[in-house]
Amino acid sequence: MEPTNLYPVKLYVYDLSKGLARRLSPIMLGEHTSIVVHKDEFFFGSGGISSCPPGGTLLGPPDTVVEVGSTEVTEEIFLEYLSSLGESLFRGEAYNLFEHNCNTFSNEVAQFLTGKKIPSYITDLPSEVLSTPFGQALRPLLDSIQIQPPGGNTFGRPNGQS
Amino acid sequence: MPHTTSKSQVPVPVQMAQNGQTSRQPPGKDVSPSIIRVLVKTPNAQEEFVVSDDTTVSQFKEAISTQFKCNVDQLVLVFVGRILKDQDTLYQRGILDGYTVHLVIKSKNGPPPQPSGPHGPLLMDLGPREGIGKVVGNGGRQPIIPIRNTVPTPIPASEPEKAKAQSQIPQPRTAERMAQMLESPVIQQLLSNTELMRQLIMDHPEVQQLMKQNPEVGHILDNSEILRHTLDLARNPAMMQEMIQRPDMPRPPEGFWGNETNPGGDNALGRNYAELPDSLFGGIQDPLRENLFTEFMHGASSLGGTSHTQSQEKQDSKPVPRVLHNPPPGHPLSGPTPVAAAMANAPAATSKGSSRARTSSTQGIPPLTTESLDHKTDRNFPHMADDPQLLEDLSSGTRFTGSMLQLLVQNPHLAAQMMLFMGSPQLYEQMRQQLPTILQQMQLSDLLLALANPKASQALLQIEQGLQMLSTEAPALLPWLTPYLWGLGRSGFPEATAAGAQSKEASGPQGRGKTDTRYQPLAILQRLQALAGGYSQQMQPPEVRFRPQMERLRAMGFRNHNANLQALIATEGDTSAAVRRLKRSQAS
Repeated sequence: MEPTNLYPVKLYVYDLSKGLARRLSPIMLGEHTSIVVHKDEFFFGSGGISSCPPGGTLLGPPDTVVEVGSTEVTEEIFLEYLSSLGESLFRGEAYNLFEHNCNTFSNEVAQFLTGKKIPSYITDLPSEVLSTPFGQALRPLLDSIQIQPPGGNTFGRPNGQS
Repeated sequence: MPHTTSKSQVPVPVQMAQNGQTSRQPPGKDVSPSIIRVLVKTPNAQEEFVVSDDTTVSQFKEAISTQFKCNVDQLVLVFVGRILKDQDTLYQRGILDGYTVHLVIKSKNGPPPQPSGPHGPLLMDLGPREGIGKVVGNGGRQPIIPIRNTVPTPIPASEPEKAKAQSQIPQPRTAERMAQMLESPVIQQLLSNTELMRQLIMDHPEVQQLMKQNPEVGHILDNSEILRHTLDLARNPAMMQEMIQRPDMPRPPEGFWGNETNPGGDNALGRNYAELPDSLFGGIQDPLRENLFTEFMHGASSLGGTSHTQSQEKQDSKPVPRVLHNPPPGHPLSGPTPVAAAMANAPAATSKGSSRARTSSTQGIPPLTTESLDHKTDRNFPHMADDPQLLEDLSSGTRFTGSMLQLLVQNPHLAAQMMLFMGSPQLYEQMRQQLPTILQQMQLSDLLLALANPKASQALLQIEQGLQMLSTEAPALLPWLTPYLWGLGRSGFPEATAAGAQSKEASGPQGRGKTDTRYQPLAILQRLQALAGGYSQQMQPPEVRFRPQMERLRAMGFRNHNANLQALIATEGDTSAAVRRLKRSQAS
C-alpha cells in the first residue's frame, strides 16, 4: 500500500462568553467552533461556509483546541466536499442559531474527516438552552440571530458543476 | 456460482474478485460473506446500499456511480477519515453493517480555488466562477459584490484553465439546475423587476383570458406589492417551502374570521388544523386578493413556482377527487359534472373569499349540476343538493382549478392515492376512468367560466360562517368538525373521519365519511344535515330549514341566534326539545 499522508484535524473552540467576543454573539450560544485542517480554518456562519487562516477571525486565537484526529482527505477533496456542503446543507440562509449553527457544521466536517464527532458538551449546548423556559421564551428572538465572525472569506463554487 | 441479481442495473463485472459474489444481493440471502447495509452520504443526499462486505471498493464505486449518475473517477469514498482505495474490500476497511461512508463527487473541472487569504485576490479568483451565475454558499447575501455585476459578461479569468473547464457542464441535473437558475443573479434581478414581470405576465394569452373573466386578477397585477411578494416567493424556494407549511404566513393578518375561532387552531395536531382552516378560510376578502394572485401566478406563470405550486396545491387539491367520484357511473353528465365538482372543490379551500353577499344559498342552481345531484343521492350523498351551488361557489377560482389540475396531471400517483382513500373500489374505478376526461375538460375555459358563479361563493361563505358559529357556540361539535377540517387539506385520515362519523352518525354517513375528507364544503353541509338527522330531510342548510322554529324560539325569548340554531340542529327541528336544550344550557 502506498504511503498515505495524514493531516491533523483540529477543532478550535471559542468561548464567546468572555471578553471582546461577547459583543459579537448572544451569550446564550456560548461557543463558536471551527475546524482547522490543511492549514486553514473553516467555519459556518450566516454568510455560509467561510475560511481563514487559523485564528484569523476577529475572535482571535481560540480558547481551546481539540485534537479531533487525522485524515487522509486531501485538501482538494476537502474543498470539493465543502463546496457541496455549501450548496446544499450549509447555505448561508440555512443558518439557525440553535439547530444549524457553526457547531453543527464543525460536527459534520469532523465526522467526514475523521469519523469522530466533536465533544458533546458543545453540540448539546443549544438544546440545553432550549430546554429551559427562559430559552424557549426567547427562542423567537434568538432564532433570528445570526453569527458571522468577520475575517473570513466565503467559500463556494458555481453550481452546476458537481 | 455468481448471483446475477442486483438492485439496480449495475453491470456486474464478470470477473468477480475472489469468491465470485456479485456486488448486490437481495437482503435476507445468507451467504458466507455477510451482507451489510452501508449508508453512503454525500453533502447533498444519502443513499443506502446493501452489499456483501467482501465487495471491493471499486465494485462499490460502480454501484454508487450508477446511483448518483456520475463517473467512477469522480467518486471519493471516505471512511473514518480514510480514503478508500479501490482494491480493498469493505470488510478490510472495517465497514460493518449500518456504517456510514462519506462520498465526495468531484466536479469535472477540478476543485474550486482555495480560499487562501481573506480579501482581494481571492475575490478576483472567485470572480469568474461566480460570474457564471451561481452565488453558492452565500445564501441571500453577496459578500462578493463584483460577482453580480459580472454575471452576463465573461470575466477574464485569472485561472484560465478553470474558466475553460467551466464550459464543460457535467451531467445535467435538471432539478438542481433549475434551482441554480433561480438563484442566479440574472434571474433574481429579472424577478425583482416587477414591471418587467408584469409585462411578461400580461402578455401571456391565457393570462389575458383569465383577466377577462376575473377583473380582480387585473387589480392584483396592478398591485405591485402583491406582485413583488409573489415574485419573492417564486424566487426563494425556502420561503416557498415555509409558505407551504404555514399558509397563513404570507397573508395579511386581517383576521380570517374562521381562523382564530377554529377549535383546532392550536391543537397539538395544530399543523393540520392550522393549515386546513387557513386554506379553508384563507381566501376571504382582501387576503383573497393575494391568494387569487398566488393561485393565479401558479397557474399562469412558470417562474420557478413549480414545486411551490404543486405542494401548495396538494393540500388544496385534495378535495378534488372526492367530488369527482360522486356521480355514479353511467351518469350522462358524469363527465362535466365531476369537472364542475372538482373545480368547485379545488377552489373551495382557498378561494372562498370571492363570495361577498350573504344569501341563503340554494339559488341559481345551474341545471348542469342539479342533475348530478340527483344521482349523487344514490350514493349516500343526498345532501348534495346544495352542493352544486357550493361547487359553483367553490369553483369561482378558475385559476385554481387549472393549477390544481396541473397538479393532478403531474402527480397521477397522488391523485390515485387520494382516490384510494375514497374507501370504495368502485368509486376509485369511476374516478380513474373519469379522470382523464375530466382533466381534459378542465382545460376548457368555458367550463371554468360556468363555474365562476359569485352566488355560489356567497353560499359557501355562509356555510363557513355557519361552521364558525358552530365552533364558537358548540364546542361539543368539535369532534364532528374534526373530520371536516382534516379533510380539507390532508390525505389519509380515514380513521379519524370514520371515528368522527361513527360517533354521531348512522352507518350511512360512515361510508361517506371517508370521502368527506376530501371535500370540505360538501362534508360540512352533509354533516350539518346529518346532524339534523337523516337523508330524508330537505336539503337545505339548517338555518333555512328551521326558520319557522327559529322564529318561534326567538318569540319565546331565546335571543341567541346561534344557540337556537344549534339546539334546533341537535333536536332535528323539534322546537320543544330545542327549548329544553336551551334552557338547560342557559341554566348551566
